[in-house]
Amino acid sequence: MTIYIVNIFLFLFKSIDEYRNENPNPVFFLNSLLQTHSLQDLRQQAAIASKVFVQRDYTSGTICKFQTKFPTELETRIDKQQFEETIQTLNNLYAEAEKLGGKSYLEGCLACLTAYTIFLCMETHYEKVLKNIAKYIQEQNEKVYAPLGLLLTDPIERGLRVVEITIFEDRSIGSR
Amino acid sequence: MPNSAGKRFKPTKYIPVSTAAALLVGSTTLFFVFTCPWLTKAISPAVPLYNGIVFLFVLANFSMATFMDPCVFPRANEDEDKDDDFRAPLYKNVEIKGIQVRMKWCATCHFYRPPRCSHCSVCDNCVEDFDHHCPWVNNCIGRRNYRYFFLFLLSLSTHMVGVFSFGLLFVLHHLEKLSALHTTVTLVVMCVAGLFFIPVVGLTGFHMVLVARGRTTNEQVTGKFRGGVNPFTRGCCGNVKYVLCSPLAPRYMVDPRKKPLVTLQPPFLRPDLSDRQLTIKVSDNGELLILPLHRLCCPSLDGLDDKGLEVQPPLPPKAERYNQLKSQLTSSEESSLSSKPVHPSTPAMYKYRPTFGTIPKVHYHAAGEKSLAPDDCKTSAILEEGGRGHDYRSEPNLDLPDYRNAPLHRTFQSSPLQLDSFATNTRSLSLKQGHRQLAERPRLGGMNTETVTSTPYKSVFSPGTLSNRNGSLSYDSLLNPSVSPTVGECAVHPGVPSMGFHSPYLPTKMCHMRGAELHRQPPPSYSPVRVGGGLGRHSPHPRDPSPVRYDNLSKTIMASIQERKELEEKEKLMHMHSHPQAQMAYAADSGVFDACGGYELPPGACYTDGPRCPGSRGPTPPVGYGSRDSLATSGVIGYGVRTPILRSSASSLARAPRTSSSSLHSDVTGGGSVQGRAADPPYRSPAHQAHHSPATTPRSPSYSHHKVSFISALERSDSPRMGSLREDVAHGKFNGQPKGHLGTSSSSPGTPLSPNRSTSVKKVSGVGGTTYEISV
Repeated sequence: MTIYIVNIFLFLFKSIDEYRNENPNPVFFLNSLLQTHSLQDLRQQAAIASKVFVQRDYTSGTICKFQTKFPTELETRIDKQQFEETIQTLNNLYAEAEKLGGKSYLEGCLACLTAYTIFLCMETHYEKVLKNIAKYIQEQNEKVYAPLGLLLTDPIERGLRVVEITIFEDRSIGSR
Repeated sequence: MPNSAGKRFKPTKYIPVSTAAALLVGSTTLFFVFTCPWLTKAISPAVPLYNGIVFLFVLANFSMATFMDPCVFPRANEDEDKDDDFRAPLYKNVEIKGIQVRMKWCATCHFYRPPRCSHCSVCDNCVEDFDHHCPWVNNCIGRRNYRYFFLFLLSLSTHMVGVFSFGLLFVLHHLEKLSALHTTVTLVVMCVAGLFFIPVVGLTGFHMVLVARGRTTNEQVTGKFRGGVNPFTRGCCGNVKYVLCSPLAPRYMVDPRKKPLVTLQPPFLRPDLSDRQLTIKVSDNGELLILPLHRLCCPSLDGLDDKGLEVQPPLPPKAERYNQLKSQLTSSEESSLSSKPVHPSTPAMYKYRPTFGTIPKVHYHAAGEKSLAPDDCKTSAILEEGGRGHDYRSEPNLDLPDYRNAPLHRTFQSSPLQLDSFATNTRSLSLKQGHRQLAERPRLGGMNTETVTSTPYKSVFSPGTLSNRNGSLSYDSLLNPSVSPTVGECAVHPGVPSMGFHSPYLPTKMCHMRGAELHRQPPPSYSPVRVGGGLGRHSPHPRDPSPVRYDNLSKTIMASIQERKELEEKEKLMHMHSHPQAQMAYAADSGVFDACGGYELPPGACYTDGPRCPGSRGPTPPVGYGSRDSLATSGVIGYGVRTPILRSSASSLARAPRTSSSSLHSDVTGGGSVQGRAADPPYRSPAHQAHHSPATTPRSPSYSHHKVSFISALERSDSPRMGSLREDVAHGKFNGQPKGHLGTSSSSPGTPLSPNRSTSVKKVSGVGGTTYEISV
């Protein structure tokens, strides 16, 4: 009986720990704990070693652009060129999204004429590009980053302020 | 955004917006019903059509401006915050098109506000391209809805002109029937339109200029580009195009359900229940301790602690002794807890871990931190106590890392600035330190005094003054290691003084205490080097305490501190001459202290003034707290006396433990709310004054004493750092406060904080009730 209880404790312990890793915010943490449907999923969580944040590059104004400088934390994980290519592609996509052009102008006029009800049934240009970006990031994650123990977070989740790169613990190397 | 504001439903918030909507719709409807039929007949059916279209446009833009997300930035996670250097400056400079732009740290949202972004105090969110908060649409005007707001103004002006001129036309044709219903209604509508025409057109013109120049209202009002160049302008045409034609920016709030899932391959997956994660340790008592070793990876230590709560091993028998302490500890711990969330863990903490280390502490501590409810805290505190006592005595495991302490300690280490250590609000910190000291003690050998440290808060803050006295006595007794545990209550109290020396976080009072202790010892005692000689007060890490400050400090506070440094320096000079006296007083005090006798503090008079003081703090001051304590308290009280708010401050003292915790929490959760919105300002202001202007002090003897003692204490404790310390003492106060102890802060010297806050952000209400935030 006691062994059983101890086991339960151990398990709880660990699952909380893992959730904690994911959700530093206590409220989130609790919520997520409550929302857990199967504890099995928890076991699949990887340990986060650290996070790298690629900041915005404001040199050319407030258009959305991220720094292409290669963070040193990633040196052991990923090729510099690969990383820069990803960021550059993201920058290009954002530049396209924010481009002032006929399309956005037409969109604005149309929305105006329809008293903005069109927004209810139509995706804006920006949102379309964002979808592309999400797709691109997902693809990059699956193809390049996840195998290296990295994970890109869509900048939109951080208010387009940073590109968050999560570095997972590499157990094969045994590094702490 | 409504998120945070929505928590508290304030009907008054909706008065302007509903008034605006009612006026707009109401008068327009009247116009259509009473005026338009004649216009249709007499002039053309196009007239009502035109007015209808314009009105529709107005309404559409109005609703867009009202209901659209102005481009709110989601708050940063703690891990991102952690990523930044803690001692990072309050501002970060960024070059935009060759022009330096300052990005200010947002204490609420935990990131450097991007250019043109500002934090709206009404919505409590950072808004991109913040223009202003408009009560008439009950929303912030930001990047996404500025266009609609601008168009709303334009169309509203047009609409008003239309209504007024057509109404005039109607009236001119019905001059002979002015008393008729239709004419009267038209006249009323014209009046409304005319009345609002001037402000609306004025605002429209203002915004037209702003759009043309590529500025925001916020920038214009705060004079950001006064004498400078606007790096955001794209030329007149470009600006207009940007406002009217740029693609609609996306919302930054993403539905979490839409987040894609990416799976990682095995090498990066954590094995189930691997050895690394859990360590089962059997202690001397036979208790089973489970340690998560995995912490390094964890972004926040707090979470780990939670586990500890749940998995808690049975309490050791010794816990009982500590029960008494628990209540006190809880309060302090809570405060510490609250402070924690604000600060992400620093790398420094990791370094620290190895030093302290009883395992059980970690768990308990964490539990205390986590639990928000007072009840929980209590229980956790009890557990902690038990755990602590147990650890400490039964098995001091130095080798094990003490995670609990780590968060606090890291701050110490990380920050090179010792000044901070003295901040008043840091009770919680001091508590922690006390714990740490406990842990360390075994190393030191015989020095038990420190064990008690955790309790000191209690004595200082708790309403029960008697305990303090006892504490002082016990303190002496505590010097003997064997005695301390048995002492029970006394032991707890005595701890206070011991706390004083070490923790940088100590409230000013604590500092005083510390000075007293130091005094007792031979003169060399205060030198930092005396590690060996002291009673072990000097923990192996004498420097730790001070650094904490900085980390804990919110960046805004830091900035304010810098600004105030000059003032502080002046103060120092003033006090320098008084210094010798202060030392004398210390010596005397110390003697009294040992005797456990109450010496009469001049400040005592202050107490009498305050109606509430006796009740809350009560007997303590007269009884003769510790000498230091009395001084400190008197100082505090002195503040109170001066201010009419004394009562409240006193009450706050009494409540301190609980309040502080709750306030802390609110800080954490509310983020920017820390800035002392509601009641805080009054309390603080007096304290603030005191620090700033020595001249004001003459009134209350206690006040002057307080200051002197304070300074001297500081000097003693760290002679080498003296200069810096003095400055920082005052600083420290506010530093600590924002994090942890709002409630307590009101009474404690830490109060100056609020003024800083208030200065840092000024709210300016402009024409039409719009709110601008000016950061100074």
